[in-house]
Amino acid sequence: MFQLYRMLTSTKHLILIVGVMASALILVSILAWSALKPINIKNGFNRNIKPNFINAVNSSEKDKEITDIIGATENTIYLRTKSPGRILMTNYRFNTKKNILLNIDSAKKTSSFYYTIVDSPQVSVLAGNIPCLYVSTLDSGKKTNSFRTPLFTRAVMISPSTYAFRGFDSTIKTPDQIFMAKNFNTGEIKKENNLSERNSDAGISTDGILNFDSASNLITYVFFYKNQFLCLDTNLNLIRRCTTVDTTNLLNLKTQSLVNSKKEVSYTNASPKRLINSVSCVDNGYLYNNSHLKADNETDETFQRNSIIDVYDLKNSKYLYSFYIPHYKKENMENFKIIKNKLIVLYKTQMIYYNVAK
Amino acid sequence: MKRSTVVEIISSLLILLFVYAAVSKLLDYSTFKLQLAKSPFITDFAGIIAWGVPVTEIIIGLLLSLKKTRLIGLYLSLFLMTAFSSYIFMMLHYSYYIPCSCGGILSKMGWNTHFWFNIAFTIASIAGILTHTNTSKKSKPVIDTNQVVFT
Repeated sequence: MFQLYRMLTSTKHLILIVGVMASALILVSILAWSALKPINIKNGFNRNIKPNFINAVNSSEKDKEITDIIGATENTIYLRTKSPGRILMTNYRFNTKKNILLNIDSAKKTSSFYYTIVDSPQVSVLAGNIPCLYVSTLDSGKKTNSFRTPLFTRAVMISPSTYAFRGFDSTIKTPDQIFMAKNFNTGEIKKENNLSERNSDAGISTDGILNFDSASNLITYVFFYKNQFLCLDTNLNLIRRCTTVDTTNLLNLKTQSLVNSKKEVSYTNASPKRLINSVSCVDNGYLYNNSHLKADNETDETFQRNSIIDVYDLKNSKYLYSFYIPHYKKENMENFKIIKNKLIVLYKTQMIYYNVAK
Repeated sequence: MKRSTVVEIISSLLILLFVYAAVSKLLDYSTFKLQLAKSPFITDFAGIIAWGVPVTEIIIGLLLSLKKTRLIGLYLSLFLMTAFSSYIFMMLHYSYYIPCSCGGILSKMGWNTHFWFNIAFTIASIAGILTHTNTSKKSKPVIDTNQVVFT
């Protein structure tokens, strides 16, 4: 009897343990399912997908220090490292690697947020938290000139002496970001004419990626959280406000200001960051944009195993076609650049050079 | 080691965890609520959960501290730790956006470390329930022994 009683109580507790765990699991699953349900619905648009548009040519293990592709020529690829004073140079076979050292202070404040641009032979390092521009050359990295820049979050080079920024300006009364351009030879600063939205959130909800295409002489700005991109000329005049191929036009990011004990105000997102667009690049009159929205003519499986790139013609901002960049062993593409039909892709542990169909 | 001591150690660890977590959440309530609002899974319920979780943690702490209600406390601990562990697992594997974790010393852990930390406390809760059950049976030896002897 005792044995039976003991067995029954043990079984009762085991059933209870499984039941309690299962109910917790079901509750969380329902929450997750209801949150992810709207993403899996049809988004109401189709893509013109070009199959076999790219083919892998060479690949190499990626050094953990590499963070971005910062320039390329016919034979050379320049890669940013975690140190602002070090650039890694390689070729398209990835069989030669050379460090280029720049005379730049790699202190925490500089290395916390910076862009490096190589437009051979000029090297520009734009440190956003200083804020400062360091200019050097690939062959004489020790000689570095520095210039004061506006406080910025995005920056591109539009000529050897002029850079465009998305940043803060003291003449703007609200905490918002605007587009500016500065010529460091003349010191002249150009500002946009009431182009940016004013949401008083430090520009978080309208954050995006700034690019400059020398072929069309256009600055592009692709928004992260809405289906839009802007085309500006080098005087920061709006040429076109364009929509991306998808149909999501609602600004979906809530923001909130925070005041610390020192009465310093900071801004953050107050809702999940739901990316519509992420990394993008421009080349030879085309904009290449990595969208995070699945088209109705794509399968879940294909969308989950690849990164989709939508291509736009910068002459008229019209959508042309899309192609896939496959994942590498479950690793998403982290960054990419297209330079004259050569596609370089950075994954977490790998970098791959693909040939692009003409 | 006595089984009752094992239960007490497990209960004390869980009390320490829940009370610390609840207090740190309530002390930095606005940050905690903001972090919940950033989570894709619970953004719509951030207001309720921001109060609900620390209050539940305190209640469980109280239930664990009383001998009479310890078993209920252990079951509720198991429920909460399983919910937390599965939430982190699903966030890491299915969410399109991963915000920072909650406040206090636990925020210093990454999501992966936090997941294994929670799994350890889930296992501790199960061990606590099973040990408590056996302890309860042993605390009624006369009845049980008699039944064994006379049947």
